[in-house]
Amino acid sequence: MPDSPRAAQFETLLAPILGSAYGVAFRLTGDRDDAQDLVQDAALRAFAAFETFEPQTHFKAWFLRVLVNCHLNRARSASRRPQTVPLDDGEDALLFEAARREGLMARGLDPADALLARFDADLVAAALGELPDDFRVVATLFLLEEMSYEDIAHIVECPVGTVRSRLHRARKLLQKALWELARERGLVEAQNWKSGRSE
Amino acid sequence: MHQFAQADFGVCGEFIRCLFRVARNFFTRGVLRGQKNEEFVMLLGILSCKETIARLDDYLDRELSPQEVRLVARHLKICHQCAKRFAFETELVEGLRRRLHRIEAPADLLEKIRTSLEAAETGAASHGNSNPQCGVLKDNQGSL
Ligand SMILES: [Zn+2]
Repeated sequence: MPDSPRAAQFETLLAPILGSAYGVAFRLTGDRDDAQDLVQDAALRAFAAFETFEPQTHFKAWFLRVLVNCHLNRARSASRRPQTVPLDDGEDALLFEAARREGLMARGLDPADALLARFDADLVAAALGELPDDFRVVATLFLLEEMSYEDIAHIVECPVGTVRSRLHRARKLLQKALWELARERGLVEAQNWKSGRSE
Repeated sequence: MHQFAQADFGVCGEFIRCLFRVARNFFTRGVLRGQKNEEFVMLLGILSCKETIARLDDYLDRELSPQEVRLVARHLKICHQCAKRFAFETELVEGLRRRLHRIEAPADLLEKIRTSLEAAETGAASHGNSNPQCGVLKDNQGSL
C-alpha cells in the first residue's frame, strides 16, 4: 500500500476493477503493451482528478470514462488510422443471409453455431479492430462488459440515443468486417462449409 | 377487446390472434396509414414481422421494456422466420462474447501504477500534473 492515504484509497478502488480496465484497454488498442500504457495513463489522470469522484458512485464506470477519454484523445492526436466512418454499413442481416445462402438453415444445424465455428477468437478480435474508434468503444463496452445504453452513454459522454444508434451501426459494421476477414482468410468458401459438415 | 387479446387461449388463442392480425393489417393499410399505429399495436398485442425486426437490436441490447419483450415473444411464438432470425442474432452475440474473453492483466501492473502515482504525488508540486496525450478531462462527476 502507498504511504499517502489518498493514494491508498485510490488503489483500494482501482485494484478490483483493474482486470476489467485492462481487458477493455486491450480490446481498444489491440496490443498488450499499448493496453498497459493506456491503463497507466488513465490511472494517473484519474488520480489527478480523484477529488471529483463521488465516493457513493460507481468507481468502475468513472474510471472507464477516464480510460476511454484517454484512448480517444490519443487516437485522435496520433491519427494512427483514418477515422472516417464508412458510408456503407453493410447489408442488413448480413451474416444471417450468408448462412441462409450457404444452406446452413436447412441442414438441421444451429446456423449461428455453424458460422461461429469458422470465426476464432483471433478473427473476432481483428474484426473488432477494424471498427472506427467511436464504434469500437461502444461495441467493446457492450460485448465485453455487457453494459446498458445508459452506462455506455455515461462513459462516452453522449446522449443515450447516440449510443443506441452507434451500437446498432457497430453491430452491422462488425458483421461486415467479420464476413470480409473470413472470406479473405478463405474460411467461408463453399468448400469449407461442406468439409465443416463432417467435422 | 383488449383483455381478450391479452389472454392466453393456447391454439384457439393463436387463431384468434391471427384474425386480429388480418383485421389489423386491413385497418392499418386502409384507415390508419401508419398514424397511431403504435397505439393500435399495443391495443391488439400483435406485432407484424417488420415491427418485430425493428425491435431486434434493442432486444439484443436488452433495452426493451418488459411489455415490449412480451410483444416480441408473442410474435416469435407464431412466426418461424422471425424466430429463426432472433435466435441467430442472439447466438451470434453470445458467440462473439465467448470469443472476446477477457485478457488477464499483467501481474505487476498494479505495482507499476503505484510507483507512478507515488512519483506523481511527489512531483506534482514542482511540475504540475500533465499528461498531454490524455487531454483535458471534462466533468468528472460519476453518476452511476
Ligand atoms: Zn415474423
